[in-house]
Amino acid sequence: MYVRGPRDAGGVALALVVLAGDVAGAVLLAQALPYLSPVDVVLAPTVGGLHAAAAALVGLGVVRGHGFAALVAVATGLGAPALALGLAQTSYAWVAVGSLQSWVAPGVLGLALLTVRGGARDRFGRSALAVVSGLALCWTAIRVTTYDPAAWEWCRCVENPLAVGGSAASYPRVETWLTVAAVAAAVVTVTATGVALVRRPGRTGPAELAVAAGVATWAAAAIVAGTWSLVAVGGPDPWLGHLGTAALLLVLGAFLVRAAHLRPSRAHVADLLLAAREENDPDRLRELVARAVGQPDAVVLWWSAEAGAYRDHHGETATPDEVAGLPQATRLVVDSGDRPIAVVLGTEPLPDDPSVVEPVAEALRLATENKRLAEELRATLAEVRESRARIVVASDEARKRIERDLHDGAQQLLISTGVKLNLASTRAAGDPELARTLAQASDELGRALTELRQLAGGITPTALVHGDLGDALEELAMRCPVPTEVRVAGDDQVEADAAATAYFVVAECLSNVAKHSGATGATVLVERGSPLRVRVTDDGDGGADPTRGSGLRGLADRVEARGGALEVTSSGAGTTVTATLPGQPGEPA
Amino acid sequence: MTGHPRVLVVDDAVLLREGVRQLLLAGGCEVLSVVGDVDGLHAYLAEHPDDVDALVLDIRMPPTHTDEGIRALESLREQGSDLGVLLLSMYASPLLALRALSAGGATGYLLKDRVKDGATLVEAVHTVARGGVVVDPEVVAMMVRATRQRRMVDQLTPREQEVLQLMAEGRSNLGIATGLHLSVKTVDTHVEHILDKLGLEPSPGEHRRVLAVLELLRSRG
Repeated sequence: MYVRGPRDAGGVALALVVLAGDVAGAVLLAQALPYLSPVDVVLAPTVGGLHAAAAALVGLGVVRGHGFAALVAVATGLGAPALALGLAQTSYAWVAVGSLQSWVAPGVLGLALLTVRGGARDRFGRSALAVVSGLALCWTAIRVTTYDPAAWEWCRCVENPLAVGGSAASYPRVETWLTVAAVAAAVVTVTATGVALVRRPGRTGPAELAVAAGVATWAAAAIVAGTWSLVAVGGPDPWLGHLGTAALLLVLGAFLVRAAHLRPSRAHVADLLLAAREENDPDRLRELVARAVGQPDAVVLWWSAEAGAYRDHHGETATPDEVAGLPQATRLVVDSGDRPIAVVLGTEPLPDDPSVVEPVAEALRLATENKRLAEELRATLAEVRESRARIVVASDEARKRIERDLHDGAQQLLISTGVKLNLASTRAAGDPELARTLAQASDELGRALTELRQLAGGITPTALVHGDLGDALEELAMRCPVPTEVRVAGDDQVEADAAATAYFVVAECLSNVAKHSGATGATVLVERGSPLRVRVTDDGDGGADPTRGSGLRGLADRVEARGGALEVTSSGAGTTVTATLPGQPGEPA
Repeated sequence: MTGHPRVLVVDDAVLLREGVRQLLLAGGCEVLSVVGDVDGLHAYLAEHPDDVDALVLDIRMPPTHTDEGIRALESLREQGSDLGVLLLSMYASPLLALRALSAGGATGYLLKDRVKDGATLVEAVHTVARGGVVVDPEVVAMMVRATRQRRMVDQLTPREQEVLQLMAEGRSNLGIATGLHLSVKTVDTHVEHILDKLGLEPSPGEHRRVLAVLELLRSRG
């Protein structure tokens, strides 16, 4: 339906033939059934004729834009019933002519989409159009090959020579399904129009709203009439049909107004500039650019440094040479000093008004710049996150080194000194003074060893090497002078890295509980799941502040470096620290 | 042999193992050899399968410096060895102690700090060499203090709590009686009451008795 309007004699001739058909239909009907009211005879052919006239204007290029095929379809469909009824008693062609009435629906949808979205290649709109056109095609084919006027005894109509098989008795069943198809086409048409309206980027003006109202009225009339004839005996009131037909004048009017305004406008340029800041859907940006330059088919190709070519969002590329080969007037090359950004290609010369072209170029620069900044920001954030993780890893390695140095160096020396003192004291049996001094030295050495052991023990989560997280936390609780209860929920495997982080959180919290809280009891709660959650609660005086002191701040860094979160609430009723660690596939602890 | 257990010392720290060797010699043990890692241990045992009465085995050794000693103990027990093994540890860790004792057999868990008190080390080596069990007093004290079964332990009289602590350290009733200056008969009665109050089955064998008590002390209530 997005076929470019033919600006040639053939197109105009076709439009005029359809126009003539509409007029002839009204005349023939008035003659054949003189008792009909003028509204029954004249309304549909007139509205159809107006569509045919509009098609002729598009064909002549008087009205810019597309819609020739859609207009012809509506004009044909609307004129068809009158012409068919007028011919019914004289020519067998009446069946074929009458079956063209189903083309109103795809025509209406085509006009609505063009008015609301211009030439936007909206996938949903295109699919809906294909569905409705398919329905119309089937409708026409089935009606032509099955219609049997004998089914209605009152009709003295010429028989249908194309009817195959079937019988007068079976036709009404087919008619039922044709009605269902017509109702379905109306439903799809009004739905697709609504979706196009919602998805329309930029502001929505009176023309778009008028189209929506016209389509809604037409579809409502068609749906009610169709349903009515399916469930009730006797046809629907003819005024319902007239209302729907009249509503199509609204659609036609809005289409023509939109086509007349299909030229560059400040309002469209403003829409584009507003959208360029946050819009990153290339499809919608293209639509706004197309509207701003007044050419529904205009395309935007973005520069791709990797490809060394311009590329549109469907993946089609054009090299700078190819672009340069196009007529100067139909292309707008946008660059930013040294590097190319995008090119706008029109199907006809683009406007040469600087108040349109320059903002369009600026909008494309802005969109590109924003995209680049957003990507840089993302990359920087990722880098910061990685470097924080590296710092934690480095600090863990340093802790391991310190622990090993303490054990292999200081502790060994102290113990070996102790052994020597011990051996010396066995030889000092005869000298009580010396023996007492040696025993004192040995005691002091013992205290030094205990302190060293406690210091080294807090540096790395040794207990995790020998048991699961629950066991290790149990042991921490045992070391805590404040009675501490450990509760473990869930039985998911905990990744080693997450377990170590959880261990450090609990160790630091229990050390705070013992040193600062004044608590009489504490609880450690572990939820082994995804995410892993550990919560340490005490009944102390509160006052824990993660922004002061390095302990909680360091914990938060450690937890956040793993992509988790640390939450501290502290009041007179005690302190609760909760660490949430996202689950990651890895070695279970 | 009970008088002079033949001991193999396995430790990568040169100063420490030399000190251990001297103390054991001074304490009347025969030190067969000192080796620096688990491979050396297996090589020695392969060559002299029947010579060794007890091992003094450092937990933290190359290559990973984490739990090599306990793993060596576990593999020995899997092979059916009933050798006395005294583990030396850096950590007052109930978790580690339980893991070591769970390997079964005559096993001891002693803090390295104890090495400087020659008597404690020598006594522990003698205990494991004759099939007994040793748990470092500091580990036991920690478990008794922080036990989840606080209410059950509180039912015990102070004297019974002392007896319980020594039971957990691996002392026999005779050893407990000596330590607390009581008669063996009195200790027997205490032990009976304790097992009764804590709902423990009286079990034969020192090792299983210690393990049952330790498990009780650390069980999550």
